[in-house]
Amino acid sequence: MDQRTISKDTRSGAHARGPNRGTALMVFRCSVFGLATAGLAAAALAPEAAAQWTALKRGSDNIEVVAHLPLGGRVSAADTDIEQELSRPYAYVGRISQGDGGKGVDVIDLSDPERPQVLYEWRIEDPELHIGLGGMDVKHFKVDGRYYVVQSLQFGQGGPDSDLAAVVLDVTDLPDPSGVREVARMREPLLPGGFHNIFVYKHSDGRVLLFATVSGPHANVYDLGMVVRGADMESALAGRVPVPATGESQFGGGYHDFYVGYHPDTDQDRFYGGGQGGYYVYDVTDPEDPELRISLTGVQGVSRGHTFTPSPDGRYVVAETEYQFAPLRVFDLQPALDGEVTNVNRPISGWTADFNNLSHNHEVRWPLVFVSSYLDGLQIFNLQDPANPATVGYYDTYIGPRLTEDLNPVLNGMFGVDVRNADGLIIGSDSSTGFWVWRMEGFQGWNGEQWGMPDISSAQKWDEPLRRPVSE
Amino acid sequence: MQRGSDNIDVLGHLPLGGLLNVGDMDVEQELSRPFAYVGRMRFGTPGPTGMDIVSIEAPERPTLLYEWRIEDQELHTGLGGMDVKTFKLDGRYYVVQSFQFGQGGPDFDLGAVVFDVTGLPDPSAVREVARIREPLLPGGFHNIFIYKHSDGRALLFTTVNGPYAHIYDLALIVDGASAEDALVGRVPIPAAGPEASPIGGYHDFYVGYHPDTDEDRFYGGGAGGYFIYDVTNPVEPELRITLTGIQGVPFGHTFTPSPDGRYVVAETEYEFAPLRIFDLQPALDGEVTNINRPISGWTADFRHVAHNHEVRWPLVFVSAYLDGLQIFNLQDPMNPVTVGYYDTYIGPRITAGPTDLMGDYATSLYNGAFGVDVRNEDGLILISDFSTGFWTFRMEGFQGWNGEQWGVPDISSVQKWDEPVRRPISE
Repeated sequence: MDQRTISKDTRSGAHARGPNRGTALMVFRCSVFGLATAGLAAAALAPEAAAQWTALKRGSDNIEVVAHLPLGGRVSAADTDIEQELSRPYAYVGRISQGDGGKGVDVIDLSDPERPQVLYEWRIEDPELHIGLGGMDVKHFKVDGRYYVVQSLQFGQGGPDSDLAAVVLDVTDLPDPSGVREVARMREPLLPGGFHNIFVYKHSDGRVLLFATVSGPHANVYDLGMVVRGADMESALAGRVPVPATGESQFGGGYHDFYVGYHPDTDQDRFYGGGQGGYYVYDVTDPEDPELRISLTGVQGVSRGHTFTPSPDGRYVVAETEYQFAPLRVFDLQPALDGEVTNVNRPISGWTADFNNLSHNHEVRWPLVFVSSYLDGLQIFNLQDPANPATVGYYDTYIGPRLTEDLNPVLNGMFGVDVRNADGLIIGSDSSTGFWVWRMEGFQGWNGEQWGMPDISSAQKWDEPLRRPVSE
Repeated sequence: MQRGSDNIDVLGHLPLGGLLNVGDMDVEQELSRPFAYVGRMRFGTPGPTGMDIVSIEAPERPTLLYEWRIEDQELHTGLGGMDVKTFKLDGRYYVVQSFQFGQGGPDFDLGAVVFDVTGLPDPSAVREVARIREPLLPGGFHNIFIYKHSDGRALLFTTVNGPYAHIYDLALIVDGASAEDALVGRVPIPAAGPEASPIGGYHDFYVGYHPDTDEDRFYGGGAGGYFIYDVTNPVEPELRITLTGIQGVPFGHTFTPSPDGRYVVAETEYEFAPLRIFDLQPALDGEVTNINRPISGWTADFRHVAHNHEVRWPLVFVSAYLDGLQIFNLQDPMNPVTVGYYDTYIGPRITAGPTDLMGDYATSLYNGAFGVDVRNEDGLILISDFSTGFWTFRMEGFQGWNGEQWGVPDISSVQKWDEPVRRPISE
């Protein structure tokens, strides 16, 4: 909790979070307060509790661990994705190899969420010859009544497949693992290094598009309908989204991560990308000719953007940058949406589970934001007052040590997160402890319209006719 | 109602004026000279600019002894009086007040004014003895540091609008030498460029004797990160250690070592940035020349930013802007823990005025505790607050500081003017 009793912010509750886990005074003060006003503390000081997990009490009372499925060794799991149809209870986990273990993707059966099972493991052939990370990001999609998974891959030079960026699997026949069929390998020989992140979007023109990071100052856009029908990469390439600020880059590309969503107020398909220099919002209604709409550059402490996710109406964005001590920043794009400015460089607020660590990916289900917070596990915060984010739930999936000197010490623990909108099931992939399933008290599903928002999130509506929700 | 921890006792509070009118501060270390100095600046707000001299003869009742103001204040643009430091030469006591005035008004080239304050507490005896001007590097001195060099000279290190820090011999200055003649060296900044704006290559620094190497060492934060130079020969500084490529640190700010030079506390100036702690041992051992990963961090509130700090190992006293006075303990450098605090400012964040002045560099975080100092002799703690003025504190159990009582050299920002040049020996 904050050390003072007077808040500088508009709501005193917003100050009720103690960022310094090691603050001796603070712990004492919180304990006294908690004893004196236990009932009040449970409600008002939930954010503070987020920084006070113990090995015996790893989560907040409102989070139920439905299941835990360890998947292997240290730092061997990457991102995760869950199918949204309740009739297809499958989740996918990218498998990397910074320690031991295979490189590929795991298919997990969630027909009984309390006992998830690995149904199928796809692994790259000759794993001992492949160097680099392996299976990073994973997304599912549906085309012409069939279900697919695209697993991004990153292999290094000096071994095979440095040009291999993704593999596409037909998973329609699940739960029969023998029915899983590899339908395409996506290669980019001119931009070797693979796809670090991907996003699959059902475009307003009806196509299913894959947005992918590449080792270049742009994101590539592929028509997945063409890919599964056997088109070559060049033919399937539907566009490129440039990153305005290029130069020094990590992971071989201008972008690090992105989200794509329909923007009702402008009737545009909008791309939200984090990368070199900051964050960028493009109109990708015509993917061949993306138009820059808003930039977020010159943000202090942000030389390179990472995960970047808007609210359903596109007004607020949650922005990550990937280094120790960096909080998630929340920006209000309204001045740019109103045409008053084209660049926004000052956040309206920030959120972190523990300032000593780093939060990673996030899924926005307004007003909630579900975060895979590396060393802090699953974290959920509420953005109903965007200037004062408040933690509302957490569960620490990783209580082991930080990484050693060979890796960034904060990059362990929970890597990926996803939410099934139909029933509110929350899943997480932890780099070292594997696959987790939770439920949060009072969260039984999500539909944006129930919150006065367009029903827009990362979950795509494959079978619905093109629908353009109208915001206020 | 409860603005501080139970172990902090507020002795005195002297409001000094309106919103955003106070800069840094310094306290004389001799108990027989109970005087503190406060820079008066204007952070986009109306108000005076110059320096205040405060008597703390009775720390419970600090009183304003003397106000020095630049002439024709209304014509001067820019910040005004920023950093302030005391020194002693040939038995006389002096103060250097740094200034930053803008273009479009007088004194754009004025870097600092030097005062003889030997006659205090008689205010009529305060005498201006020099103005340091840098017409070729206009914009003034944002930060200064005064160091008693191992060669015996009192040296003034200053930021300038260039990719280096200037070093002036203060004896020459008080003897009437020009700034050009008194300039004895420049400490370059390896990484210069656009990010060095708006105030030059360095933003802030500390200079201290390093017993293990018998060197005078400069610790500077600026464009690209932090840099440590051997300034034993100020004419020819030699780069010893760099701290660059640190994620989230494009520009270093305040940078202060532990008395033995092993650990450093490093600030960078933006919302959400904690103070980072680095262990320089691998560089001191010659294994590396660059350090880019902190071993820990500390913040009072991750949504704010902490500002200046004074290291009295294992304690670090911080003027933490919106979080007031903060004190943390570095006995376990991997796990800093807050051990005391008092919030000197409970008003709102600042509005758009300073943004107009400073562009995107300024944010609404810049209010509250600006400067901090500690009197080693008796442990008196002092704060200058942007908007609420001058504060004196005591902390329970902190009755003074001498490094040797903590097993480290007795080295801090406090200079020992009357002692022979002494080279403490660490383990």
